[in-house]
Amino acid sequence: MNRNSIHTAIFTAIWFALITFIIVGVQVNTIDGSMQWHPGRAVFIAIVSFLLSLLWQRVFTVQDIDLTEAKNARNTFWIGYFTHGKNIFRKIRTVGIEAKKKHKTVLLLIISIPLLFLPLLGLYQTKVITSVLVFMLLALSLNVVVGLGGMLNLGVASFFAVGAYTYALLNYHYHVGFLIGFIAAALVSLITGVLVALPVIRLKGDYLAIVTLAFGEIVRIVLENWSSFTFGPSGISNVVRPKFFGMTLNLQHVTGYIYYIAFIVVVLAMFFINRLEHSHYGRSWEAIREDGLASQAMGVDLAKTKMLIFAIGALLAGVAGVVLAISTGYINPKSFTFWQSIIPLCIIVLGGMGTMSGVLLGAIILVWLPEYLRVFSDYRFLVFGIILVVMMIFRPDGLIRKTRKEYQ
Amino acid sequence: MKKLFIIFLIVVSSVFLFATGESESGPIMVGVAGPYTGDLTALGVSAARGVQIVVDDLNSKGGVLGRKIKLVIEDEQCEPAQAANVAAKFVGDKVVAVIGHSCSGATRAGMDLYKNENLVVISPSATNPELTSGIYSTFFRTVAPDTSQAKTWVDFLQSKGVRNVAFLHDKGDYGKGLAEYAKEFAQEAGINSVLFEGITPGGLDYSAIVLKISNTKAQAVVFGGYYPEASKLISQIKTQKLDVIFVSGDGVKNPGYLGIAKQDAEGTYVTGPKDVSGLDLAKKARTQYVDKYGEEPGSFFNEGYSAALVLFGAMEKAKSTSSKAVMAALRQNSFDTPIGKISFDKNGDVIGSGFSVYEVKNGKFVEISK
Amino acid sequence: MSFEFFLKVFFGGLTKGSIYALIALGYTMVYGIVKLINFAHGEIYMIGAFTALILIEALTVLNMPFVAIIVCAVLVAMVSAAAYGYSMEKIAYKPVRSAPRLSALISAIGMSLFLQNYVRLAQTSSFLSFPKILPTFQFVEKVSYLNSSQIIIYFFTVIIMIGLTWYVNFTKTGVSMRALSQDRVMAMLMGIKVDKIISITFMIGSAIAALGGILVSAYIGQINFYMGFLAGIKAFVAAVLGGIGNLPGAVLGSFILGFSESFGTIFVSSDYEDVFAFILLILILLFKPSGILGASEKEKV
Repeated sequence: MNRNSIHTAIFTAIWFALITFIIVGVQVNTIDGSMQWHPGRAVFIAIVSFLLSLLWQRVFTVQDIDLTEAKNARNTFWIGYFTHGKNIFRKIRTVGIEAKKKHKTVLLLIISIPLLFLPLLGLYQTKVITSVLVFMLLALSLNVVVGLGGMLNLGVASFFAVGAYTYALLNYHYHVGFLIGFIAAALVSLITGVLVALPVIRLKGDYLAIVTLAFGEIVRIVLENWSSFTFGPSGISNVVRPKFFGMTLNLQHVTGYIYYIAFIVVVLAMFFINRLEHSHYGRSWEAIREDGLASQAMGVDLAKTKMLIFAIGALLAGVAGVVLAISTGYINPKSFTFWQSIIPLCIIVLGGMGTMSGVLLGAIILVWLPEYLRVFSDYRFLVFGIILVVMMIFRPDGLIRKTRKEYQ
Repeated sequence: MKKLFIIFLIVVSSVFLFATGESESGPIMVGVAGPYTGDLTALGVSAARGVQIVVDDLNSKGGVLGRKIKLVIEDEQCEPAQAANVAAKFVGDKVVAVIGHSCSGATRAGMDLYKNENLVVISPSATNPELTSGIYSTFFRTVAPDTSQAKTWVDFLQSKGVRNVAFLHDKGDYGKGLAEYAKEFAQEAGINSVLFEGITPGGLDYSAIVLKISNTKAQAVVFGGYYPEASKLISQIKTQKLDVIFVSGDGVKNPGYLGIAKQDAEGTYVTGPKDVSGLDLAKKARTQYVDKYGEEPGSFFNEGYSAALVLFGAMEKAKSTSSKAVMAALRQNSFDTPIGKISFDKNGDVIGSGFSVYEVKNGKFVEISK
Repeated sequence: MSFEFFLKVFFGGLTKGSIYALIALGYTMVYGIVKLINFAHGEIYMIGAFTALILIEALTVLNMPFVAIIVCAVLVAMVSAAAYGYSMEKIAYKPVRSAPRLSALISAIGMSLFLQNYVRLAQTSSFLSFPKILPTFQFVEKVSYLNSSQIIIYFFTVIIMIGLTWYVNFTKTGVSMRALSQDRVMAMLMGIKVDKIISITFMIGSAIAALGGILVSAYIGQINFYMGFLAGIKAFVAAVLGGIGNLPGAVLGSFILGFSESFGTIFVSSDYEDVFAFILLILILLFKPSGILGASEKEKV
């Protein structure tokens, strides 16, 4: 900490206090004609900016990185922060945590033991973790389409909705049971995925993204307006929960049952994707993502492969929809908005695109955490936004980096 | 390995930390749920504050039945999935009753759980008629259902001799529902529906839809929705100099409508809960709000306040916090609240508070007596 | 359908298009230079409107002449928005410039969330009325299919369009912007200060967004912390429709969007008003994958 950095910090503090003064320092209400001054808030902002600026400068000062130190840092996780002090920020930025096999196994063990016994912890916890699992499925869907296929899908909520509504409507009109409904919803999502893929695969990059976004919005609007078919904004309630070998369970037990179903679905999905990834399909997908033209030259059918990837993504999202429908028992268009397309995206980026453990970590942070951020109440989403930005600044590649398979 | 073991212990123990404990005596836990962040915040905040004011009042006098009241206030942004989670949290926190939710959709999602746990639920603003159709035996509300409001609209239109009406809504659960009931009742009464369409909330310019209406024979425009859209609509109607009777509902009867639409709101009609501003309790409640929060109370403040009064009043009368006793007390007694002297029917609908038609005159809502 | 009716529909669509254009221009400028979809752009639009509102209220108390208040409020709001844009870029976008594009997108989303809630907590979550600061012109009021507010919006849209086009084509900074958007490495080799130009781009884009926010709020008479989000998505769609990164494209896309919404509402239904725009987008992109005026990128093997 030297004179220069203090000067910069002071300047930053004054800058932020000034530009935020109007919004933060004066609170108006034109309805009742009130105007309140909050000079204290401006001072608060100045102090916080000052401190953050100092921290920021510490973190971003360019210094020579000792390679051996960096290599050791790989194994330290967060505990290393306390032992290696100020250099840890730089290390976190430059050196990724690679999803080594032994790390993965340990992580799985740590997480799975409490998870297996979760329903014992109570209804609320079970419900929350079930939500996490639903979003994990959505994130896995994006993992395939974005991470493996390289296509930016901003409208995964549309397939989510297709799966959920198919299940709920079949349940409502024909009293279809869980297994048949599940399979039907999965099939419908798959077909929808293929249909959407047709126009989409021709496009590149951001244009593809925007079309998927448009499709997501179209589905949402249709859900809201085509009341005769989708029951519009009032949604579908009393979705029948799955029966346990023919027995109808009470609410406590069925929530736990649904949790286990979701858990199994997620594990199966992960297994499925993992096998695909390491198959010759997976290798051709990687080739397409890296260089579409070259892989085409090598004989990969670009259109068909992209369509397949998209369809698998749609399938996963549709399955997530079914789980949502049975776990909340009530669906309406408000659960399938742009926001529900964005959260899975944040999960995979935060966790580390293309990695399974990354999806797990990301879902835990982005879905589980806000439930516990409730302690911040009003400031919940403010903090959430800050976390997103900070995460991206420090670990833009995500928390867990994907290892490339090397063949020697 | 040692480090990993430490991590393992931390993770496992922190998971168990979140397990909730028992509490036999001690504070009375009551859940309050609504949208407190997100785009529908304006619908939930004032009601929740109303409950808080009542509770603070009661607690300063020693609480209820000798126990202090502790509120568990949770935000669900009117989203059913979040509402279901909040409901589960309430159950885990061992609440004895719930005041909420604000939106009908969220309430439905929560009722799924509440009815299972036999928890008393009193909503200040969920107006969907299905909630009191008998399927939820523990549900009460301090606001009249949409069917009642739609009927009031139609009666009013008839009294004005209107034969052709354009129905607009905001494509939302509440707004569209209201418009649909209104259309149904209107057609039963022999009134023509010349248009039935939804507008997008948050839209920048409604000139197209107003233009469309001007092309029809509509003598009145009925809008189901909230005040931001109503303000934009009526401004556009006045700009295009369309001579129609504009009628809207309790989502619009809000100081915001008057403040935003200003002159344009003159002569329009809005239905809302019967005028209670003259009531002592209502005046007292409003003063309490202004003193504590420094602004005028917003939507459903009186209803939230009343819900709290009614709940704790019932507990006192029943001398118990058990749902069965409280429900019996709710159904057998009448209560003095800012929305009047009210009681409840067997389905949970409020008796003694209905809708009146108000006309906007000189920048104020003036009740029209029939 | 009478001609007058048609004119009314037309001008309704034109107004919508102009509003979207004001926001889309800023979006497309930033995208052109850093290839980033700035989700937080809509929030700057909202902050500009709030800043102006607060200033108008505060200055009215001081009894300044009406016109002076408006001019002052608008200018300060634009400058303040530029400052926000500058800070936003330095904090959330510069550090992720070398990161994968998706990370920058997430950062933008985080920034958008942060700014929305920042304003909500600092001010209020309710809808507030925005003072009627747009002057009325008597000669326009006589006409049935136009009103003064619309004329003012068109006026500013045209000025901004012309101003930006001139700036980007005839000033040194403007040309540097174009150079940067075409080939960053080459531009750096030519001695263009990348950081400075990017900052200026953000600042100009933000100032325009703020102006747009003020105009729209004055037009519809209300303001709310959430308004930026919805406007932002529409403007983004408009920019892509016309070919993102392309100034005339953004304007064209905006007008197409505006007209499709207006005509769609009148001739079909207001229920599906947004859907027309999106379907149009998909159709156009099917035939012109880079947007209408977008440069078709030739893939070099």
